[in-house]
Amino acid sequence: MKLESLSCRRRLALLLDYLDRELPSPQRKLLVRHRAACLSCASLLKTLESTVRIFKAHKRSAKPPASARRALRASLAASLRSR
Amino acid sequence: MQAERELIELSRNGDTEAFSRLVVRYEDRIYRLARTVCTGLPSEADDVYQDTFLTAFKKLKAFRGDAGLGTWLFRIASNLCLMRRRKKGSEPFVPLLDRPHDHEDGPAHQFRDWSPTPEEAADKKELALKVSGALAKLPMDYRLVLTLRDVEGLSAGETAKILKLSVPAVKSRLHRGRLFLRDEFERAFAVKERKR
Repeated sequence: MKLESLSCRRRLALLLDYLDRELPSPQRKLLVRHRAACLSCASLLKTLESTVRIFKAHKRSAKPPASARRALRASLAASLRSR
Repeated sequence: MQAERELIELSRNGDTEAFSRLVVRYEDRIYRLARTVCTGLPSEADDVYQDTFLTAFKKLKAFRGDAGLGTWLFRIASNLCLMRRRKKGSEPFVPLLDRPHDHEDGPAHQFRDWSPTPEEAADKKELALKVSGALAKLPMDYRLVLTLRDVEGLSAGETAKILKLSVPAVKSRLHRGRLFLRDEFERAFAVKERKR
């Protein structure tokens, strides 16, 4: 299989599977070689990795506010009383 | 640490103290999902967070334990997010299929490299605005898949179970969602580059 001969969509699918480490070893090796030689695919992979990293970091520290925690505890107590 | 199964059993019998301990274990993750997926007012995320645990407390007797409690809670939270979207009736329309790099024929699209500068990466507030802005342009189904896979680190199979989708459907949404965000970030960072 030659990556250059694949359609854009098919090649993208392979690259995205590569990113998720879901490619079987032979295809993975092919992608690693291709990545070293193709600037566009290397850029795509690098920027997709950055995208995932930025997105992951985005809400890492999101914590429920104290007011929402208090409201939940109060609602749970009320729910028990109404049983 | 008290075993989860024991806490579930006690909670089923109305022990709110036991249920509160379960809440403590999962509330950050549930709130994070709600905050990421409900891109409107912060109060929406607060409501989803509270309703998730209230619903779980009420329906705990129906929880069979086939999947983990976390998976079940994520399912409840995801459904609540989707219900809110349906009530609102509006959803961003994104021509996800009509991206320049997503076609069967023709020459391969040339992807450009970009990355946030150290200053951009350090400006957390500005970065958060960019991410929120890009996310808000995506339909909620995509936001859910992206959050469960990339933020919560669940597998495609677990995500499929939570959202009642097939694994290929999860992968398709994930791939398209990531590409969409990538393109949005490229645009955001490219704009800054031009300003320099």
